[in-house]
Amino acid sequence: MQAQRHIEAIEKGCVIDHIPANTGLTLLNLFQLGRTQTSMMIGLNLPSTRMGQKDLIKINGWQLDLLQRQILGLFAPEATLNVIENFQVQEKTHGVCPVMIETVFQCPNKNCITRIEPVKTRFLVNTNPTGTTLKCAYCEKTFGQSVMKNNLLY
Amino acid sequence: MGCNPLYQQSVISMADFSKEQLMYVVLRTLKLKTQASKPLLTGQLIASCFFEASTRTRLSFEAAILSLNAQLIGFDDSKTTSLGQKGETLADSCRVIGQYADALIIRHPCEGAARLASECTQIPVINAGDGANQHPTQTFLDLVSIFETQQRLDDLNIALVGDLKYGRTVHSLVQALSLFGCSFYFVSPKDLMIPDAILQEITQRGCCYTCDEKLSPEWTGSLDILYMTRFQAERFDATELSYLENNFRLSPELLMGAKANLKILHPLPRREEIDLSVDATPYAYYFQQAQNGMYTRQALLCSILSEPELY
Repeated sequence: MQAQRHIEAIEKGCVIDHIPANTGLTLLNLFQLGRTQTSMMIGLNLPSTRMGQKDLIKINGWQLDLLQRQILGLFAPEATLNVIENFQVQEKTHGVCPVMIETVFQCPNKNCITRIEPVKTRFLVNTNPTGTTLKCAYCEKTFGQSVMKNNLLY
Repeated sequence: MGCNPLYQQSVISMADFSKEQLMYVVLRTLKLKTQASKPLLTGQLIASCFFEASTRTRLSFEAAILSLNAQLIGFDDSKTTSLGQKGETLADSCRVIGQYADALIIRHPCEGAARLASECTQIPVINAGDGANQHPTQTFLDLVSIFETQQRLDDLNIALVGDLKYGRTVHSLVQALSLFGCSFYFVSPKDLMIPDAILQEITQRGCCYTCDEKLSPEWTGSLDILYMTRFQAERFDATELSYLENNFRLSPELLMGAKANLKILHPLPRREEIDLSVDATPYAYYFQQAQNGMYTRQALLCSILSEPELY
């Protein structure tokens, strides 16, 4: 049975496919859509020819904004973002890996000035073969993705 | 020497500076050192805001400011300020201070405070130390001292000894010297090794390095600079501290076979890591290094505040 048949098709919105298994819920949390009325479906640990197992998200009547695309680019750069209209895929793309990301994360360094001052956090993103790291623009400390996932600002 | 690349620029982190900008400050410092009277900042007002205790850095800045004929306002204890007593944010404090002064010097216990200050005011900001992050004026004076003794910064063999994990002066100095293709020998206890992020950075710049857990005379024969650091007493109990200081102490015996141009530096204050008998050797340069602090801060102030064509 194809993975897609586990979850019904949507008329308009977006489908994020080929999300590494165990990443889908993290992405939804980061997208902040859980607190809205947006209708969405998520498949976890679905069989995948390409990946063995994958997660998948379908969001009805919603397109990812730039920040959400950046989050996708950071945490699931290999995922495919499908833009859906009239039940058809209009565009297939990927997340945007940003050079810098603001506001989404708090700095894990408890002695960073951003922990006590009302200032937007800012992280410089560095992607290399060993992985992606985020460097606080203020305290200049560098953190891995696994640490940043646990330091959402919201 | 060309135009002034630092005019109206803030001095926040060594990561912000190019090789050319570093050399500009080094050469300007050495030129200023030869000048007896230098009222180069007459009419300028500089705010010195120390949110954290400091004696040597603060006095060095004050000496630099007054010797340039500039005027000084500020504080050395934030408890007496609105920020300390009324809970005013650092950002607001800097916005207000920026209305009064031509430049702001800030030392703060939190990392990133100087960067934030520079974003909240139009005037140039000098970071006099932000937590465990940066202390760029210390690094500049270290570079001046190295250049003064070696007549260059390129391709030197530099050893750094002691607490290489938490020492902000070490991190900043290595960052700066890696722009000049230096080779590094890092000597520290295993738990206080130089962070991987720094090693990756210098590797990406094509620099070589060796890590060792022991001071030994075998490598001193190739060194140009030996940079000693203090173990921070607050991090260790008395027994651990004593062990570290005894096993990483520099003694004259370790300097047998050293090159004639070798110089020993230390950001001071020191504890037991340098045997007092080393002071009398021709290699000791840490007190001259400390004197360079005032000249370096003069050069930085002049660079950020002097009109380009006056230099």
